[in-house]
Amino acid sequence: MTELDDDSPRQRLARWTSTDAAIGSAAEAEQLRAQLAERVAEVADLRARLAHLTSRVAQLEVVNTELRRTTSRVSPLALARRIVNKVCRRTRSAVAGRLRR
Amino acid sequence: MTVSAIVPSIGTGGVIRGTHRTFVTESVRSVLATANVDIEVIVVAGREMPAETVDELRALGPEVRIVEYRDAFNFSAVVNLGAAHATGDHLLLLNDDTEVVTDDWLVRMIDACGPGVGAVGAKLLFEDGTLQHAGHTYRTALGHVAFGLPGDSAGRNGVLLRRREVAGVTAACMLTPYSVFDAVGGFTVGLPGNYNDVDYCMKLRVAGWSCVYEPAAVLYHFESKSRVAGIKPEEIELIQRRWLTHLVHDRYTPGNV
Repeated sequence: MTELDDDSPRQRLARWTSTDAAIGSAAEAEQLRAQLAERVAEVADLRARLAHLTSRVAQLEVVNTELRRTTSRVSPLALARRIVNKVCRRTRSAVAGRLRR
Repeated sequence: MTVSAIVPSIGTGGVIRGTHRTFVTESVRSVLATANVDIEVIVVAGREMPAETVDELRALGPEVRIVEYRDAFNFSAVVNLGAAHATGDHLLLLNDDTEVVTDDWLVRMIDACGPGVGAVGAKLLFEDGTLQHAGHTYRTALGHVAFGLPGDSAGRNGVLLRRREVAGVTAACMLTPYSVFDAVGGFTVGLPGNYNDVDYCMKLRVAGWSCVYEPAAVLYHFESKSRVAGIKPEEIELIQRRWLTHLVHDRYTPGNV
């Protein structure tokens, strides 16, 4: 027997309805807090990845700027001469290789 | 110690082992024959229950009380109504399509319901002797451990043969102290057909009580193995809204039972 035996069925049902509602609300609030914590962690992770990518982009931009500057310093004629010389060197080297055999 | 058995029923019948029976009458009869403790049986009778079934139940003995339930079916509301009329210090929630197998089942369940325990579940067998219930598992879905295995399966390292803490137990046969039921506000009427026992067990666990499976308490549960649960989207939504993070971290289910 319990100390609540003098409760009427109607009183018990009413009490359980309000207790269940309170427990349910607390459980839902806990779930929302858990979801919030998960989202906060996700946002922090995305921020860290964004910071890393931003830093990498900055590094690449420095390199690109340097390459652009170098490219613009070389005249088109000098550039063509460099390419022709390179091709000729390769051809000579290939022919010499065949002769040695 | 007094146990109040709460048996929701509308007086349906069926053929078991070739013989037609009214489930609730035979279930209550087997409970009274084997209880071995002070017991009252509260049959919460839906409006569909035939008058002759009510008469049959009353004829089983003075321990049987009938409480009428006139609203649309809501398992949680039915259980709460029965519990509201209970005088025992333990509640035994029992489906009407059950039959006791082991004579000391209730004593074993009471023994398992020690300090800190909020609910005890039994081993339930289908009519063909296969396992219907050996505790809940919430690991990948809300279901039953070892569902459909042979009834005498030991499981990995004999886990199915041991009294052990589980994620939850079915309300088809559940012993719970009245004080615990009262403290957590009974069953949630927002879950009329499914997951009300999952929700109840979650309320217990979050409040610090455990759920225990007692394999020495064996009953038949004549529920069809192919029963379609008819789960409503709002039931899934509510159970997840309340307990999702707890459910997905089921630390009670072994990896392979």
